Amino acid sequence: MTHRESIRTEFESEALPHLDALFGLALRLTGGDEPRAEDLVQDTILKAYRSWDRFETGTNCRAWLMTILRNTFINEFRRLKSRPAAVEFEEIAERPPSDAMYEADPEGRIFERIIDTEVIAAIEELPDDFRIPIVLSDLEGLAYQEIADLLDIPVGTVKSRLFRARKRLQGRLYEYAVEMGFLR
Amino acid sequence: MNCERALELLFDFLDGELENATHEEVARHLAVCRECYPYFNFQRLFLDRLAASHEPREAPSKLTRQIRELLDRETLE
Repeated sequence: MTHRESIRTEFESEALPHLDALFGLALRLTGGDEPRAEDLVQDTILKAYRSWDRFETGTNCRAWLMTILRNTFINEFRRLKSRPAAVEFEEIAERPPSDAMYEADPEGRIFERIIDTEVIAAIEELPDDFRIPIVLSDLEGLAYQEIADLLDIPVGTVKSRLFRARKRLQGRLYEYAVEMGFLR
Repeated sequence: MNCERALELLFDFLDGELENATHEEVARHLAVCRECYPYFNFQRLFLDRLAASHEPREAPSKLTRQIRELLDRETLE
């Protein structure tokens, strides 16, 4: 086996087991856009393979790959964003933030009944500017400052987007819970 | 700390973004406030629910195949 082939074998055994997780994160970030998510995973794997000598064996390969994927996505997102958008998200009409869910079920029992698929669908439905901070904060556990740096927006903007996105998600999950007859 | 101030800090508190002293102040308010405690608790459960949502998605076999081909090309170059 040549040196290159042994690197290839090592990379495959370390990195490829994380493909499902990478694809999952790519779907969350792209809002369920499968072709885009697939491209993102491919770009990530290629970057990781090319810089495999910088990966320290024994450290968390999954976390390393997820970081590459996140950065790749954000760079692409910011590049597209620098073009003038047809509709700015601030202009999109929103439902007023509502605490209907809390009022109907203050103890939050409903959260045990709502299935993952529905939570993920509600997240994926959010517009980019809401969804991306939610994925980075609530699924990936990044701090406000880290998100602000990645997206190149002020921390206050991160906070207000998270606030609005969370309210919107609660509204969506409330509607689902009512449809399913979990709440009246 | 009053309820209005506590509510302003709701998500900073739940996200662990407050300095220790302020975090403690909010915690002390929650310990005695019957209005805020259940509301904060509900929001905590909501955030926990988001964090726990993992829809198991297998990467499509086509993607896995394409990636192996990509690695083949990279290895041969």
